[in-house]
Amino acid sequence: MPRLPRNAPLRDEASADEDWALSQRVAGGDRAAFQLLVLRHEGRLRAFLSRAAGCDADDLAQETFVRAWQRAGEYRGQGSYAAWVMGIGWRLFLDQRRTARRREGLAAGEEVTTATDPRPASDAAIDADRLLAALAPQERAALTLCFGHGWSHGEAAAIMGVPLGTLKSLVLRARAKAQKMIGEGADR
Amino acid sequence: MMAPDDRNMDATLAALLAPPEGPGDRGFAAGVERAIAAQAAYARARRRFWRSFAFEALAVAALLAALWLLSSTPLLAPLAGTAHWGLAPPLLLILLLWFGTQRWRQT
Repeated sequence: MPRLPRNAPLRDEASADEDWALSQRVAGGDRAAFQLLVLRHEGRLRAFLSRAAGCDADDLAQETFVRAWQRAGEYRGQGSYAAWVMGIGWRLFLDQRRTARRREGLAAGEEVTTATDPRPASDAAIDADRLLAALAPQERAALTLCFGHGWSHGEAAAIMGVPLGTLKSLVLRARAKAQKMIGEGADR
Repeated sequence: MMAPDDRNMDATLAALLAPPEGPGDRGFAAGVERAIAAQAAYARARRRFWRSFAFEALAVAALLAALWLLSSTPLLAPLAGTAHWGLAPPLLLILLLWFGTQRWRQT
């Protein structure tokens, strides 16, 4: 079996056609085709979910693919397959977070990770994890999708299921926070 | 050291947040495959349970109906004396229905 590029360019026409062909086979119950789709998209999905969740999210990614398999017939080629899977993953993440917060009895509107490590990142220690720890999950997801994964604002809004204006606000706010943190780290 | 300006900021963020490069993780894909197989097995077991439940509910309904019919038959009235012979026909019917549905499910 040939080695598949983990992060093939999403907008590559041939890649999108291949995804569509594979997804058609998957809708017909072809498990081998689904394995190929998993191999093509797991890297991006796991990276996105771990950034959004702020921790290892392999279980969430696995659950996402199981849902994608179960709902294979619902994908009709509207947008890319990667965006469709990411959307499933994002909604699962929100569901799990809601359930966890309800269970823990946390106050509504209070972000779980906002309180983690409020120190500005030092120049030497600036990394994605520390940078994202200062952001709300929605901001982390918006920043990761638009800057890290290269999705357009419209595509990112569709993945996250928010209006375009909201997505742009999230990106602007997250970017400003990130810039401030990196700036503070650099000035030290 | 100066803070990165707007021009460099996007590139910095892109570099920090880019997904890892590399071939697809076959271990992860195998895990997904196992999870799908487990889900399918669970769904099959659940379907089997509901089918079995439906058959048994049907058998009980048939039994109750038979019991009601038999209890209203004048011919059986003498049997329903102190020796509880009146329970025999419906009990036999229970057994017949049970064996019948079990055989049907197996086929």
